Amino acid sequence: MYNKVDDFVNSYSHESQVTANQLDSLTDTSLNTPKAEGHSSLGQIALHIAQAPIQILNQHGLGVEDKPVPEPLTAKFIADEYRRTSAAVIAGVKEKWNDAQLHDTANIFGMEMPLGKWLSALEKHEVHHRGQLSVLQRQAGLPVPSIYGPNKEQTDAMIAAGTMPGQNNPGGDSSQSAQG
Amino acid sequence: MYSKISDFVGAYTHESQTTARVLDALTDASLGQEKTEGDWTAGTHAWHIASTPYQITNQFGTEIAAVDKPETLTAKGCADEYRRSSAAVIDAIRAKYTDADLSTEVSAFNYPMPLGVWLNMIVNHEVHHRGQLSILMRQAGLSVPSIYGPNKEETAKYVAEQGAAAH
Repeated sequence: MYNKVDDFVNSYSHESQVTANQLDSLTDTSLNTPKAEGHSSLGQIALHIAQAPIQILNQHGLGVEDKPVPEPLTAKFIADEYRRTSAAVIAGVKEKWNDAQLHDTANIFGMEMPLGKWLSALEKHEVHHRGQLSVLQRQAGLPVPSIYGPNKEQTDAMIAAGTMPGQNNPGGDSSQSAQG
Repeated sequence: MYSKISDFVGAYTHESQTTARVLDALTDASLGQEKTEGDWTAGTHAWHIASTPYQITNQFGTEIAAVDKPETLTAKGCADEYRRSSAAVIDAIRAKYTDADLSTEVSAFNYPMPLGVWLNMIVNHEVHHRGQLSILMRQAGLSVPSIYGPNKEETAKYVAEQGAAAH
């Protein structure tokens, strides 16, 4: 639940930079990587990340137009579309709603929750699928930029340099583990 | 950024119920499912999800008992540890802090941020790794409970019931 428009804007501005950065690392050939037999592909998940922000808030009057998806889908379209939709969400939320309105009930996809909860769900939904995408990216042989801390290559470098937090105290008291 | 302790408690209570359900769907055999060769397994993700919240909050001074990763990880061990640690984090934050503390900077892993930003980070970090885990579970042939909407099986059932024409 967000009680303040600023809290959402600050948080989502940060997360959406991370997401945009990650989408930039996709390649056209990676888009067909499957999750598992019969499941969504990497490209479908990435496109869902790009479209969901406006699909959710358009249900509550955001009023941002969909863009036709090109055939074949390209990595550049996904990254550009995500930048457009996430920026439109940040600008739209700032412009259309105030702190008090975050407590108003919003009916989105037939489900009623306060708007402030929907904004939190929008962010978490994206983080969830971004996490899924990161696994498929690795499986497609692509690098994944750091998300909530060092990525695999940065971690390997820290371990090699002996600067990984907790490295000298494996499994030990976590209150001391960051001082390494 | 959370402005109220109750917002964190509400959000994390909801998310942690979902996480516990996902961890309950793990099997011992699935824990070895690898992301890529030599990379994190489903078990690594599950234990990381269970341990990280208190490892972060203990850096600000909550005193939640650390539990070492068992030699032989089990699905039940991960789910039980997650339930213990997530409940302990919620209790500790509620007991230790007030809304006014959320704008105060605290440092975890030498990274200072307002407490309210850290608490949101704890939730998002978990959602991120839970999303990763969900892929590995599917690749291990497991069903994944619904997370932010119907899962694959629920969607298929709905579509079958409504008929393709209604779509």
